[in-house]
Amino acid sequence: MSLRDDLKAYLDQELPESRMGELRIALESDSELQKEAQYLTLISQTLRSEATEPEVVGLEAALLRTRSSKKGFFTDFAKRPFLATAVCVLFVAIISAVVYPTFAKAKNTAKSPIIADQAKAMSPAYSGASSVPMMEGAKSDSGSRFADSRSMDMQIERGNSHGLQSAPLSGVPSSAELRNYAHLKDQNRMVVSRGDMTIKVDNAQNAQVQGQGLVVGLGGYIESSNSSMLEGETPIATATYRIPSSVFELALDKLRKLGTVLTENIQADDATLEYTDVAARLKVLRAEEDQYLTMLRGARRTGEIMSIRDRLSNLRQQIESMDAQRRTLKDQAALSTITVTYQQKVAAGEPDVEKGWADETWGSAINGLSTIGRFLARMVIFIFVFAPIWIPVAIVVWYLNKKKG
Amino acid sequence: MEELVREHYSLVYRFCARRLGFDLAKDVAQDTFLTASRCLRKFKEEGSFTSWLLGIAHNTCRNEVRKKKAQYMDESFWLNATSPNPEASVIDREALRRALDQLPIEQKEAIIMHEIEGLSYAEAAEVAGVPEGTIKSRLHHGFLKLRLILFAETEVTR
Repeated sequence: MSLRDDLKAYLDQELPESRMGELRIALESDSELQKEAQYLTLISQTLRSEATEPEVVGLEAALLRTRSSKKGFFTDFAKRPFLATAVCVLFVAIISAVVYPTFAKAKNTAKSPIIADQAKAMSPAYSGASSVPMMEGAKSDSGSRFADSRSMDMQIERGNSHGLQSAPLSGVPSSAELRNYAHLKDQNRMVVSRGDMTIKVDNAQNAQVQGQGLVVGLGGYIESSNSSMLEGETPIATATYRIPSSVFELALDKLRKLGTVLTENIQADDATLEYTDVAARLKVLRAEEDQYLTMLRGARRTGEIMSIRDRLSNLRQQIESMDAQRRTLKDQAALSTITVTYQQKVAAGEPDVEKGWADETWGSAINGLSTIGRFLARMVIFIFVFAPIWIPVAIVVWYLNKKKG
Repeated sequence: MEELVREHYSLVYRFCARRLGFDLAKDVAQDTFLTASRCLRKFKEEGSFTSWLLGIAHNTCRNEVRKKKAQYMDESFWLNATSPNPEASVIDREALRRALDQLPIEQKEAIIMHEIEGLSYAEAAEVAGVPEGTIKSRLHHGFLKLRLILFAETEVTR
């Protein structure tokens, strides 16, 4: 660097001592350098003399503002509109994501007692064979030959281990509520009741034996049973019971107590109309038979006798068939069917299925990740949907801050 | 913090006034102290508090200029409107104003900080956020230009 480049710094005494010395020596001998130094000094002096010394104002206001800023976490926060808006939006989104499902659930729960009440109001009298009420307009989806009858499907799915008294699905009365209708027995109705249950028990075979004992004690019998105790699989036993319809509900209750009900499906088909129809047709056929018998007693010619006998034979076949239908209907209405699957509990420390723990852990981890993903997606949706609310607020806050600034 | 405000307010206010004028200086000075109070924990005690505070003021002034597109470091903010002693002055005030107008902002700023506000090269470098050598260079080139403009004019006038 040349001496001239450091001349200003020399005059300001901002150079290291060695450099100061160099310049001092140079100045003593160089008149041009001295002249230059004089110019720079003059400019510096002029600047200082011509500079203003502004009058100081606003000290009190500054002190006041400094004092108020101490309590000002929120004030300070409010001064950052973007941060404030982002926090508000996040707060709204979290509250909505948490509160909304609760509201929706409460709303659905509030509906089901109303629907259950409506079901009660709509239901006509009960059958004498079971305590299951009928619902107007309900359709049977069974594959039985009673598909034309009016029937009510009652699907009660149990997913927990807390027994049977949990709330029914929307629109379906619970078993407890149904038992309350027992006093409305109508002896004239023919109802075919069917129940399917899966029960988790300590020992499948023992439970099956107990179930058999219960059913026999109630006057029923075992229609079929089987069990599976294969290695590596959960022991299962299944049995189909025929129970007098009058004790159908009682049998269900007793069977439920054998273990923890996992699933339960109760179906009741009203066969009254069909039975009545069959009975009426049978009556007509019998009356026709009597007429033919009267005609036969009065017949004199062989041809006439043979013709009447043929017709009588056909008629009696129809009567037999119709009577068989009537007896079957009556038998089915008299004896309800309950199919129970006894699923054995897995002992502590033993996996349900060999090598299942890794899959279970993997499944749990994936479920956890998808839950987080769903939650984040839900928040994004809420932020988007609530945009008409938070965007104007953000704009107002931004505008006010800009205006204030 | 109040003590610091009382002690340094005039320095900061004048610093801001020279850069932005009297209208904006009050608000900017207040903002400077608010920022300083928030960031007090970040101040490393081995440095100069004044330089640190003026550094905040410098940045606040720059932000204000950007936000409001205000004039920055106009000569009317820091040069007297009338010369206190025109006869004794070798350099004409108007000539000085014209010469200063031709300087880049960075050189003008270095001149104000050192010549008028009395900051050393090191302090000015800390305030401006540049190395000390840069301040030295800016001052050298600024004065060189002023000398060439002013004394060439003077010589021409004479």
